[in-house]
Amino acid sequence: MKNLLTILFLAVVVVAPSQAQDTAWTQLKPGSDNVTVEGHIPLGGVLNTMDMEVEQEMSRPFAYVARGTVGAGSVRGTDIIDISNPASPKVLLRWRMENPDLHTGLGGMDIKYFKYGERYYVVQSTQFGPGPNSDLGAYILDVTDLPDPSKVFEAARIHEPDLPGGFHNIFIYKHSDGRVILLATINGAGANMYDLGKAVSGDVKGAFIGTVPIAVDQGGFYHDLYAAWHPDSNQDRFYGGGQGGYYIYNITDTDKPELEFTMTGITGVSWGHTFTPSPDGRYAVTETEYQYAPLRMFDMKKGNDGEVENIRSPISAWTANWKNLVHNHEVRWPYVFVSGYHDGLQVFSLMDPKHPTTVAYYDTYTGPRDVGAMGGAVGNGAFGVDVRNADGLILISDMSTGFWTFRMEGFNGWNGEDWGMPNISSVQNWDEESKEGTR
Amino acid sequence: MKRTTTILLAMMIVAFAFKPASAQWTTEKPGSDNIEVIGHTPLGPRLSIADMDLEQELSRPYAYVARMHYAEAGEKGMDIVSLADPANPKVIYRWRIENQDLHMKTGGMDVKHFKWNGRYYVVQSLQFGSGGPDNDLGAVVLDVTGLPDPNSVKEVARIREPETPGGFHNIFIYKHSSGRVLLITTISGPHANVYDLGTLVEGGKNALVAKIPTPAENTRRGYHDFYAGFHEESGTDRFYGGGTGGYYVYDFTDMQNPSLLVTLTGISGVSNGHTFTPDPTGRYVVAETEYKYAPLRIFDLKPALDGTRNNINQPISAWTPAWDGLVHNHEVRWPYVFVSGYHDGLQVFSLMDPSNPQTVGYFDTFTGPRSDGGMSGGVANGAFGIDVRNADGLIVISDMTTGIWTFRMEGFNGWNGEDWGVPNVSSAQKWDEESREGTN
Repeated sequence: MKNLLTILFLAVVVVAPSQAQDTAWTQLKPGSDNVTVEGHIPLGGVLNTMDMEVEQEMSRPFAYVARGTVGAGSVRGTDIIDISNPASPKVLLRWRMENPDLHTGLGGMDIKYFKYGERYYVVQSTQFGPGPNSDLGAYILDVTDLPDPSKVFEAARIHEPDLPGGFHNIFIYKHSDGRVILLATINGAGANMYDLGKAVSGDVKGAFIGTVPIAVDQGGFYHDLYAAWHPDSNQDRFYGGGQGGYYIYNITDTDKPELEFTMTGITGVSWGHTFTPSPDGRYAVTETEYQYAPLRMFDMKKGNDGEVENIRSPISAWTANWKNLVHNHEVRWPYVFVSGYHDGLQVFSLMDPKHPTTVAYYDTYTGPRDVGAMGGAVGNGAFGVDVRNADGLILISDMSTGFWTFRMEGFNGWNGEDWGMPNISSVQNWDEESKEGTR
Repeated sequence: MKRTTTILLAMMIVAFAFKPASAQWTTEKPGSDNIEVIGHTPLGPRLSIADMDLEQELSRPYAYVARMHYAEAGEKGMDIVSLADPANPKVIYRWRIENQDLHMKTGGMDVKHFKWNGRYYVVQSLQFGSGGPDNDLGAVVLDVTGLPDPNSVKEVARIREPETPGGFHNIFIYKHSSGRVLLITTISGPHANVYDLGTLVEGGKNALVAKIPTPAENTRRGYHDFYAGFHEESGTDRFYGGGTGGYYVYDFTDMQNPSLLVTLTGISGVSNGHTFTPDPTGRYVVAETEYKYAPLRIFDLKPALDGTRNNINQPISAWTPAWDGLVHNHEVRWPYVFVSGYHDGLQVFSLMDPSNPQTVGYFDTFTGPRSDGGMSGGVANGAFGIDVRNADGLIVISDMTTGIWTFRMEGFNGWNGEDWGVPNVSSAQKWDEESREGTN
């Protein structure tokens, strides 16, 4: 009996500190002292809010939130939110798919905006199951005349009848040749590229310009993708996470994408998810999507230099809470802004890429840990994240609690050159016609 | 300037508040207050020490430590260590493969002891590469009955597999319900070999008595590690193997016809299973996969054992002492799991609530650089093997670099499953039990 009491006492003494170290965020103190909640607006039911995007011009204070149904309900579409007062976000328009009861599947998933000519558009990726529009990959809304919601109209729909299932993820890239290109995951091998200028000019059928392959023996798929100008090589580069790992292609000539190198055979990674390079293209932040998986950081120098064809060992890793999973991320070197599912907004620094360090956090989801999608119920809470470079506003879409705006102390905007880096992020320079020397 | 200072200050504040779990053990305070180091003896150069096994009888205080050449130096063989005084472990015998320089690759890897017909033996698994002698040698068997007299130790058998060269990476010795003592070995083939050790040490020629298959397809080495235990509820002998694709449970009561009971495949983050150990009831299992950042995953086999499903792919929980490291082998003494945690040394966690494993003790046996070690990320250094003596609760660790360690955990003075309301089943075998009632 004495032994049992001793064991129980020691269990409590030893366990208590380790429990306390699980997370620094609690329900009573969900955020670090350097993060301020600017605004918050719930958007609907549990597990009904997906990815998000914010426009970058201060004169256009609009955020776009994809609406889908991982949980119950039939909300499938897009919410357009006015953040002219970030402390009081307001939904301007709830665009919904027609015939909601007939449409099945997820609905809205990823979302990105672009500017073409002098008009502004938002692309909502869609995934519908059996029923109408199972071949619909995305719809495009003309949002030029916001904040007047009555002037938002649908400009195009992109269907892929041969690849039903829709687009799970999308990315919009201002190519060095001046075209605005939509990159989309498809229900098949590779990633499709569409010329959005053509799509919104009435030539949707002619908008498809090619497929970025995936370097696997059979089939293959991408889960998420990113593209950026690579200054050292003067190339447009595609970064895709998918079957087997991560792939880097030169897409300067969109007719002939060329594989630069791969990151496969990584222990613990059977397929890649989100994959984002640093502004100079040397380091990469990578996700694979399962409980217990940290973000892995890679040094791609040897791949960029042509010394190796494959890289398989990360130089470091980071996680908010090893028992969970973090999701999307936006790189604003040296910071990485993360939508950390159950752990909310997280920010870590890659100042020393071999030793990533958490620098800020705010837990947007303090509900039950066992409610969520995927194995281990990890899929709940902060789903999407974006950063407005002009003033450093941070935005989160939370699958259950809605839409949040934040500020991080000392982070009042981002321009890569202030950090000795190229000014390259997910934010595109829409008004730049083409890069010198490439066209 | 003010902005940069603010940022750096904020980073420092948050970083300080967010100390990683690995900060619990430091070079100044490597252990929790409830763990006492009893003894420690260095055994040789860096990365020259592999797995270990401990005899269970208090009258035979011997530990066996596999020795390897994993980095720049190391002799290939096995050390026999006397723990008559656990505070002062003493190497009393060093078995070495002959012609050390001619033998390629690592040498000794796993090691297990057994008793047969009143005599005691130890089996040392071996792995020698091609381009040198004994590429087909899987294990050597020594008779250690006459310990502590080192002169009495004698080699009684060598197990060779010319058709599947490369040796045995892991072994397990199980007292089968039929009364036979079985050596289960990994091999370079899509199954595990099963040898009758009684037949082997008595000079019989047909010691290979069975093969346990793997459902995994296109695999060169089907299993990486395994365990066998008697399943009291069903009265069957069960094999638990980790390998290509995940983990597999077989009923091998009838060794000639192993029957697949449960698969654990399609687990996110697990393409290859490593160590796989059930609790004494066979309901919960502790499963390792071997790469940096992988925690131990805990599974509940009940839905599969009840027949409601064939495959399980979702853990009910996980545990790690430091998410940016890797832990290695483990010994289950319910509710405790004793772990050789590589860079994080000895670790003990409790499965009292299987859905919420909790660390209850630790002592870091390796305080060298965290980047120093084998495998990707340098994770493989430090505590490699672990064993627990049930009679008195002595805990023993073999550390790849720092040698052999003995510990006691406060309040843990031995283990018998019945004291915890579970069958008295662990890796410790009951050598003197002839056969289970009703099975033979």
